[in-house]
Amino acid sequence: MEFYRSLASTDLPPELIVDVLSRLPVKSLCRFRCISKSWLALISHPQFVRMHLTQTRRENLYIGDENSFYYVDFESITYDVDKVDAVKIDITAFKPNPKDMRNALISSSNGLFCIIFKKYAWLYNPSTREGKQVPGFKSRGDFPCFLMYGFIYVDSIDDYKLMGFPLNGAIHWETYYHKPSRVGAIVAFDLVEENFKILTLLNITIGHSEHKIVVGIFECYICMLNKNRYDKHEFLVMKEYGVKESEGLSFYHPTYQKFKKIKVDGVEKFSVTPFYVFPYMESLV
Amino acid sequence: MSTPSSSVFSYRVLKLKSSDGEIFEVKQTVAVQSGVLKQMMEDGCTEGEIPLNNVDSPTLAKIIEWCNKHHDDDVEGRVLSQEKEKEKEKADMKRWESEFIDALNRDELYFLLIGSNYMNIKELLDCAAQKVAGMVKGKTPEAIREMFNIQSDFTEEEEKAIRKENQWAFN
Repeated sequence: MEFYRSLASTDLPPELIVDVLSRLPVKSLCRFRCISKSWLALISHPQFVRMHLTQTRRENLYIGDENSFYYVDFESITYDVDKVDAVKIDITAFKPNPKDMRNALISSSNGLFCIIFKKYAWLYNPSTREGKQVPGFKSRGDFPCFLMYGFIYVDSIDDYKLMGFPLNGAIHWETYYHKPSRVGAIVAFDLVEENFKILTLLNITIGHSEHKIVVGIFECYICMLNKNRYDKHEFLVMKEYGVKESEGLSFYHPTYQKFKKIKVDGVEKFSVTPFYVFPYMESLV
Repeated sequence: MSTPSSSVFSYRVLKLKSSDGEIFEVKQTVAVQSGVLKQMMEDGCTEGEIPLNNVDSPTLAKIIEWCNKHHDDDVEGRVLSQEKEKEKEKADMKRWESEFIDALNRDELYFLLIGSNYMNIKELLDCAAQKVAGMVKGKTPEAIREMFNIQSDFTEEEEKAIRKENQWAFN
């Protein structure tokens, strides 16, 4: 019996090996490309790439300024932890000078970044470090401050479309920041109900001109990053709309209905605005 | 929702026969977590012993332990607890699951993976596959070849070139 068991243990059926591989981080898979020809073929196969994408939908939160790009594994954040690690994303393979990134517009979908810079657009995958220019794309010229390009993955045709507004895959909100006076608000468009909603942020005073606010959507969460006049960063992730003022890095816990300050390694190094905050999911795409 | 026939139904047991011939009795309400057994129940062919040729007795015992632990989850008519309690129950179950999985050695884990796949028990399959993925994640290509008994069919130059292309993944 014992002999039979140890003999068979080296022999997981192929479909189970594929299942296990589809749960791995991109970095491991890139390393495993050299294992054998069949593994290389599998890891590059479009069907596997799609399978990996649906399987590993691990919720990451992308944070970046023009010098550094990080993501935080959102699922590792629980009410019990005081500190989470940020993973640095390498953008050195991306052609435009990283220094120029402050003028670039970035959006993300299915692990791909769409970077619009100097009238051209690139698709770049920071996980595999592969990228290409979007053929035939011409920007409308000067970048409007609050209008961002987003892009959406269209499942039925297996292609990416550039849109004139931020919209991300399965996420049903379009938001941008707008400030009528001293009260911040988020305007959301609910694609399901097809109507606009205005979400007021309670007790947050952000009507100062040098304040930079970035609002992003993250699954059912709304993320906001605020650089205030004391150079402290506020980073809110909220699920429900009644939000309290908070300094430092805070995550709102919907169940306990409390904010919890969590240290994010590396984030203190950010000193320059603008920040980008949006959902990020690594992929092989 | 509950009718007299369904309560009779819940007391009925299935006789599962492992590959090494041991018989396990399992309540239908528990067995329904297996997609394969559920289908058999719906088709009305669960009389007598049900042979599970791909699952040996230690593995089947583990699988039944898992199913017994999980079957309470969605029993009909249970009073819905408060949000916070549900959250806590979920956390307790997660803890139980990781202790259950972590206690297995590699062989037991592989057999559980194969067994849960064969019996189509999605949650258990997910849990076991995730555990194996965690074991595989940080390994070198050499260690993976040994783990899955794979011979490289690349020439030395080919392998060198692929490694160079993916150099960053080795750091």
